[in-house]
Amino acid sequence: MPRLSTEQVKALAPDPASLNAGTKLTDIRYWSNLGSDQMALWGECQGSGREPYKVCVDLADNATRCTCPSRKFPCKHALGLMLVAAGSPARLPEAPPPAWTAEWIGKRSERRQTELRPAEPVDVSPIQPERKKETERRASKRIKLAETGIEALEQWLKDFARLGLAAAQSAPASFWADQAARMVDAQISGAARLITEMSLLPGSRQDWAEVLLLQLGRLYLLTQAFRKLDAFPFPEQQDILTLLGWNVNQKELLATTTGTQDDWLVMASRTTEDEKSGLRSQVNWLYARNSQRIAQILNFAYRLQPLDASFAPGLTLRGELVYFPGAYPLRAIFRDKQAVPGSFAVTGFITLNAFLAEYACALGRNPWLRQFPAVLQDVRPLYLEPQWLLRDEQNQAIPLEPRFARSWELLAVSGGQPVSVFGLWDGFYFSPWTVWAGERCTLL
Amino acid sequence: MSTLKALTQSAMLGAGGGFTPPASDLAPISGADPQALFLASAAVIGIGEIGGRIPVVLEIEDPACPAESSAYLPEAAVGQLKRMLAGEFESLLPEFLDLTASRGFLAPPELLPVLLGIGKADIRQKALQIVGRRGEWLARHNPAWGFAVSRLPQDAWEHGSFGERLAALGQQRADQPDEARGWVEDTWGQDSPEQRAAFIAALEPGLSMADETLLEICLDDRRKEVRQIARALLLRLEQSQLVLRSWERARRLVKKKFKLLGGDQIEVVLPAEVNTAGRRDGIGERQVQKTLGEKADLLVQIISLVPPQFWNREFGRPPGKILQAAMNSDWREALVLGWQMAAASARDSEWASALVALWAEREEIRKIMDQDGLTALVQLLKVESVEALVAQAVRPHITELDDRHKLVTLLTRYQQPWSPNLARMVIGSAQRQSLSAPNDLAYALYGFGRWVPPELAEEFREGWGEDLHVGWSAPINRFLGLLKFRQEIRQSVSSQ
Repeated sequence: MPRLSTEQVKALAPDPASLNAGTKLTDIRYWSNLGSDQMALWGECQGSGREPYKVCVDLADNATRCTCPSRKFPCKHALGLMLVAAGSPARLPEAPPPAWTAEWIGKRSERRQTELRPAEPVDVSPIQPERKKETERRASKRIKLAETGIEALEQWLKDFARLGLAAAQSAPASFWADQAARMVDAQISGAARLITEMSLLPGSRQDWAEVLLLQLGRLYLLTQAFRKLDAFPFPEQQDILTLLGWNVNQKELLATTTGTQDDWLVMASRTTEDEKSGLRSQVNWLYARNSQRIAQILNFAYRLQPLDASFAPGLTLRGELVYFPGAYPLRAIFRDKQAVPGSFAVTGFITLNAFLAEYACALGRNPWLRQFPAVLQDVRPLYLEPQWLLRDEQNQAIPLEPRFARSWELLAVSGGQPVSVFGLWDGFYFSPWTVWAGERCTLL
Repeated sequence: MSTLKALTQSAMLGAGGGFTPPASDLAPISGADPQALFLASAAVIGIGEIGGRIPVVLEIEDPACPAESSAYLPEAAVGQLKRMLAGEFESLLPEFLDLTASRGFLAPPELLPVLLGIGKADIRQKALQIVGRRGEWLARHNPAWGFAVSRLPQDAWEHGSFGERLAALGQQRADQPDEARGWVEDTWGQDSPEQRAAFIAALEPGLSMADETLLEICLDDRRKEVRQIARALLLRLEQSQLVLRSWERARRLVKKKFKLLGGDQIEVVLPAEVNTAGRRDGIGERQVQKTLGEKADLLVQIISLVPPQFWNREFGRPPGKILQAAMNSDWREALVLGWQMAAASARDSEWASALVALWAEREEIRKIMDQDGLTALVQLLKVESVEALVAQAVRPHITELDDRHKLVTLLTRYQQPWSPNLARMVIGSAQRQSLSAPNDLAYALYGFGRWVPPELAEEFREGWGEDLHVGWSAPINRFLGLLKFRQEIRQSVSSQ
């Protein structure tokens, strides 16, 4: 049975109450007919009803099924079963699955096969020309709408420049919110997001005005780039459109692009939840054993929908990864993946000079790049009140993000010895996500 | 060459018509209006600047931490520690820290800042046992963690913060008790009353007649706390002048009267006015119990300063018998209250046991002894005494622990390890009652989970009825969960 970790299971819980209820169900008294194989876990849980609930877990993606009427997903019984598997795997002996498990797992893996197969030639079905026309009509309509939005944005930026940066500090919330709303109306939600981010800058840090000016400049650059969209090569076009809010069609991407086959180490994974919308976003950073490239995988889920639980830091995923088009590609999706045992050591920049030189290259290709991911090798944290720094073996140093809250943990893990750190550089500060001291990996 | 900073400064109050960016920066852009030029400059200069960053050079020595000679906690124990630090089973943290420290384990590096940052000083002190050399190395980098940096006790005493001085004093008292007392005497004049009170209390371990002179001086201290602590400590020195003075006062007021029929009686003479010496010893300093008369209240205070075993000798009776005799007296309330205070100060477990039994037996005694007083006595009980109390009260299926005997209240205050025997009696009673509506015992179960021997976790999972009353199942599960967690802690630190 592939090993589940308690942390992984906790991440799957739809809410703390479910997790709590699931934890209570780890008491072995509730369970009978527990078992597992390479594909699944199963068991019967005595609930309040007469008949025990039949629970099983598909280990390929940790999807769960239970005969209980709960609408939570996964339900407490499924969480309980996974927690038992994580805590005392010996309770689930290897066995052939009961019929109800085998049937469900079979159906799911069949479905997965069809989903993963590159898009079949459905695209050339008879109705295709009409549909294509319709798609094109819609696309050009959206471009037109965006053009009016971009025009308004350009004017807003110029007004802003005329008004002066100091005005940003005293501007009412509506100054930003109204403009962001106009961008949403013009279906360029990416621009809206950039404006909302800007609105948080005044007063947030000492050099806020400089950062705000940089962002204003970048946004202006984006308006100019959009106006000359056709003049750019395809990857740059994609950068511009993605930044403005166009989504990449992932099915089409998989159908048209060949990916990179490699072993991908999950270096870090963080999930945040937007309380208002209930949207949960999972950011995962991967590192390739052979190509040594870094990839970002984003997953989203609303409220109780489960997120892909296979991105457990430290886990190695073998499979074909397809990068989204762009001048400096980072985001990617898997065409197929499977967890393989073992971890491996990451390598990265040995000097901070080399790291910053590579950042300059990346920025040259994509001037809007906000976060530059990198592994810094053999660096040591250092505290020069009030600033934390990372320095390399040549005593060159870069500053850590002042809002980074776990600097003391980083220092404790290093113990004054060189460590490897994965994190993101925004041109000003480095935000550490993961640190390796020898074999030991710690998430920050 | 312009910089983002310079450009920002020029733009704070608006990039007006006069703005002309340096030509070198913006060769490709021309013919645009001033705002457009300005925004384009911001992009070019800004991106150029962040892309052109170079590291700063730092020549600062920061020696690495010395290697550890002990092993780190096993993974399972680390997981448990994280859960407790996050608030789950938080009450088990002291037990966990002592247990892991006794096995010589160290906390993993990433948990050191959380451990050093624990707010409660007593728990933090326990945590220091497992931070290792790395913890001390780390603490040197943060002035707020000075307490974790080891230095000579003398140095800490002379230059440290209050907490550091107290810790150093405790250490010194263990090694060289007389020197430790000397330290307190040396700085007596400069220390604040609160500090003096704490330092005097720190002399409790290793208390001896050599401390009497200092404690006697404390009786004249301006601060009440200092006087109270000094009196409590002197009470534990049977040969002390305070004890002798108190005994002289008390023996004249409380006497045993022998009767041929109807058992022993205690004869009480109420004290007259308090003389100067009495006032110095704290008698009449405050009112102990409002419901008692003024003179009876003085009697309480006089008795409270006599080590209670003096009465065993005087009357030739064990505490239980003396208390029975006292019950016939009109002044029984004052007597009991005085003995209760004396037993608590003198840490007399025999008297504590007799007083607690009386408390469980008699409603009127429960009205006299306040909760704090009871707690102080219960903590002194030997586990056999508690077993005896429970064994006496419980008759399976006839009388169970349901707090008509107030034993549940008592057990919740018995916060030290239980014997398997005591645990089996209490849990057995809970199991027999768990089919009917929950009572005080059900609500107290979780608290018992901290003190029941964890090796009984498996045993206590069985024996609950098939049809548990719904009100019992949650407390039982919480109790079993706590017990299981304690058992898991033991397993995870002993598996290697």
